[in-house]
Amino acid sequence: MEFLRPQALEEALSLLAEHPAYTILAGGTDVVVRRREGRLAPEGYLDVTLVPELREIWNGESIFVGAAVTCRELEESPILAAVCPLLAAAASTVGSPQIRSRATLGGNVANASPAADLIPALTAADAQVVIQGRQGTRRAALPDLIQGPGRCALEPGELILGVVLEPFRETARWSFDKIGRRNALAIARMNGAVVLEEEGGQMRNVRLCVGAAARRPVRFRGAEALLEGQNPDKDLFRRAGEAVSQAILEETGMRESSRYKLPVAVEFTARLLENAARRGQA
Amino acid sequence: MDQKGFIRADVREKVTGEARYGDDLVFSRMLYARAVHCPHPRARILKIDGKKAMEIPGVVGIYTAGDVPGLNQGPQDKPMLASEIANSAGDGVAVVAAETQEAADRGAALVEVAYEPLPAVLDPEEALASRPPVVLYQEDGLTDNVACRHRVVKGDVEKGFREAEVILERTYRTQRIQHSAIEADTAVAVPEKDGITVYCPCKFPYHIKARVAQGCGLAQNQVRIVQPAIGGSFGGKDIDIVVIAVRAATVALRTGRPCKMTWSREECMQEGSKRHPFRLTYRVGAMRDGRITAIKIDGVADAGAYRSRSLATIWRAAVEAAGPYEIPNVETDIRAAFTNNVYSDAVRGFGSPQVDFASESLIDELARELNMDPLALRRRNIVHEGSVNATGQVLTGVSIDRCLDRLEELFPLGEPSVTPEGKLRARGIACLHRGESYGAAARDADVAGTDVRAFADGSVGIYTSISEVGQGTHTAMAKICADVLGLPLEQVRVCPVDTAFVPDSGATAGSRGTISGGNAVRIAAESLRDILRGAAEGEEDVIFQDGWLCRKDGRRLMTFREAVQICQSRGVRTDAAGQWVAPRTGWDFEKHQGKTYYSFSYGAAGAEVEIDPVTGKVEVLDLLCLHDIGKIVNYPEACGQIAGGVAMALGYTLTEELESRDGVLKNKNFDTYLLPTAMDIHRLRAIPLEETAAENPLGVHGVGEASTALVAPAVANAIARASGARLRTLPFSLERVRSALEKEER
Repeated sequence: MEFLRPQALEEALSLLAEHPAYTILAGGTDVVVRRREGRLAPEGYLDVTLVPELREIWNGESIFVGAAVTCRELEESPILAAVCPLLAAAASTVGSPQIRSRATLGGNVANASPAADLIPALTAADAQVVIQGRQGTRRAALPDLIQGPGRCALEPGELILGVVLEPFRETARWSFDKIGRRNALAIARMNGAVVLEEEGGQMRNVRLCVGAAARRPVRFRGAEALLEGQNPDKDLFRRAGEAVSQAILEETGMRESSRYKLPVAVEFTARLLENAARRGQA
Repeated sequence: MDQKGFIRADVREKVTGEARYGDDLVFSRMLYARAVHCPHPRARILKIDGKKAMEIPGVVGIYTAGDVPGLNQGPQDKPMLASEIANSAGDGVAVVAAETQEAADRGAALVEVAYEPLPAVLDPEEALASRPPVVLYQEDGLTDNVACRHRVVKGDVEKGFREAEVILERTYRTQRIQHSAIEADTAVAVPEKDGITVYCPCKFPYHIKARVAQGCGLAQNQVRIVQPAIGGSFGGKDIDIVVIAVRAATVALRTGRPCKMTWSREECMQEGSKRHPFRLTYRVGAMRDGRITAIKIDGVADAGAYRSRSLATIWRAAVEAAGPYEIPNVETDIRAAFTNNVYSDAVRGFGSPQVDFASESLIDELARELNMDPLALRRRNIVHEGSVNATGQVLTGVSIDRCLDRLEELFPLGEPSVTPEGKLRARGIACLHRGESYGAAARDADVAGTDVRAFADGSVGIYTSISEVGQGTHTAMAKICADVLGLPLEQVRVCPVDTAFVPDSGATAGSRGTISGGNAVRIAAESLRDILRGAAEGEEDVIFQDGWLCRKDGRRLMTFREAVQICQSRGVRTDAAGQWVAPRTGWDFEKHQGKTYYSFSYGAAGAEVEIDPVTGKVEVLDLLCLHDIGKIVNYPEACGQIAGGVAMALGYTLTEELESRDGVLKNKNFDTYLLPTAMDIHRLRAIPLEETAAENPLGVHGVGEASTALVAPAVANAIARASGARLRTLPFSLERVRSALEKEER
């Protein structure tokens, strides 16, 4: 077993080209657990956490957040607090302080857990994942990249560099929420994020994502369409929740957890929207 | 009351990481062992083939039941290694020993065991049915799966129900949980010239000694048990440690080399003992004014595959099941069933958390039915000084009335409310009586020996096998000794627990550590004081204070050290033995009545909850737990003990549950077995009280376990007051709460 720890992006990419089958380690909070359980035994690991380019958050025309930025850094970033507080809020619900100090944005995306806490926030923020491959970089939206539980559509030799997202506008309203069985170190029983813009009292560009409800976190276009151009309204939010619940049922069919999740999704979504709308009033 | 207390002797080494635990120990030429576990709930072991495992470099041997030098399995006991039939999934069937832990692990994974899966019985009710699908111990002559049965009978319940104006019948269920000590169970066996030394954490060293001797085919004087620092017990580290110690000893005796066996967390979860799950059905009759006329309790507990301490657990449950109430007609019948589930044993609380959840939930349900205040209904029925309890025992030292007074003062129930976000808030209460120490049904005599020795430099050593499992008992014993001898605490030390030197003090169980160990050390210290008085010949009324022997008027005669030296120069031994013999108890197994425990302790608790009706999440915003412990030895430690018990109970209440599928546990580690975190505990007030001195020379009550029993019912009662929804099955998961709220809406 080989353990590689490149200190520059160039070096990381050439090592990855040389060893496309190696498992990329970006904090290890999922990989190490899987290895211990015997579910993972690669020939080698490529630890990218020392690559400076992957550790940055910068604010240019868009916001770039590097793949090896830890949840702790997301939580405490002054840039994100100003331009994408949603991502910081989502990061603060991950694991525990110890986990957050290791777990990274890129790791959370690549692990592609249906219950990942960052993915709904990134999806609602319309983030684009920046991926470096042998032929150069490409960008992918999260719903295209995450194809199912544990299935992140990366080609061999590809590395997630980070995400780019647009800074929230003045008119942006957002919320994030998570249901866990306990208040720390909890895998989401359900989580969700919403971003919308309020123009003249009406809701525009609604992006709604609920996680831990289907095989992958996706936007709920039906519910979004219901809300588009409408005034915030309790009954409307509930109808949007019902649309989400219906969409979940259509995707997953009736499962053991449906008895809990389907009715909860209705009210959870409604509350997510209410919280976003309320944040606008404040 | 001195609330400042004093710092524990062992705290620095534990906080700095300097403490050496069992798994830290390394011996020259030491081997490492790993067990092979049965994957089926019940299976015949056809063949164990270690050929492939032996090919792993470093593997030195593979050992099976036949290699255990002494007794592998007593009747219905947990075997050291399963021999012909494994009776539960997780049972060890073989041990691989190797030069490194990695080689042992790889070897264990390659041992090929051929099993013939056999029909299993997993549901305790089914196991007790008139025609059970499986009778586990037919070969021992058993005709059913009753592991044990205890009854309590007082008065005539039928008459009591005829008198009653209201009758309620309710069924409550509790889940399987585990101790979750952070230190995994471990033992290191070192072969000696003539016997064996085992280094292991445990709560009852002389029990481990006896059982290791039995398992190794050695005399008890050939077995020495030494305790390293212990990383938590919570009622465990007893029979599990016996099993691990004998497995390691088997390797050590067969190879002549030291051998360490440390369970992985997964092994602790899969093979380690658990708390008994219970089904408890209560029928209660009461008058409209709240007076309870009769209570009938039928209970079934899951003992799992082996006997362990089910007998004492079920007996305690039966004795305490009717609650701290004076009820004229009582009939309690609790049976434990053998099943092919992982075996149950003592877990901090020993039957109390299960029955207290049921009985204290029931009282609130009755209060609601009678439209009475829950506190008023309790006051209407609680025991008082001189009351006759359910087992016919006349009670003395009763303080539950004052516990309830303090609860009312500090934690008024108030009215339920709804927050602006729509969350439901309310408070709930519960109270308890708890028998102290082993009680009348125990097989072990309730005695504790402790020696105290004074050395020529004036320092004093205490020799006890009461175990420091994190509760601060050794520091409490040192304090008791120092007070008797008039010494500063620093001059007295509890010596490491090593059965080569310490007398048998019994189990550190039943919350008896301070009662039994403390009183024993007091007796020993008083004897030593009498011996040392001899140094001040011709003086009368010599008192010991501030490190001096003094006249009554305080005039100093000589230092403590000088007194020791004078005695020693005269050929007088400066040590003394103390033996605490608990007051007699007795049980009439035919009349189902008796003096169950030599004393009871009392407590009360309140919980304030906030329920999210959308998610079913319950936040316990405020917990107040007060226990009358008679005389407080070390106030901060008493608070810590209560707070720790409360935190453990919060996990029992909300999140902890071992789930199984087809008899195999699904939780394999702490990612799916959810202990509460610091973030789940909001406000917690642990309040030890000194209401009534307990009936022992020190006046102390135990404080270890009672605090684990009140959280679940107090939270259940708070949830019911907040939402109308009554939860009768633990734990109160998101799904259960949400579903109960949905039913309430309809």
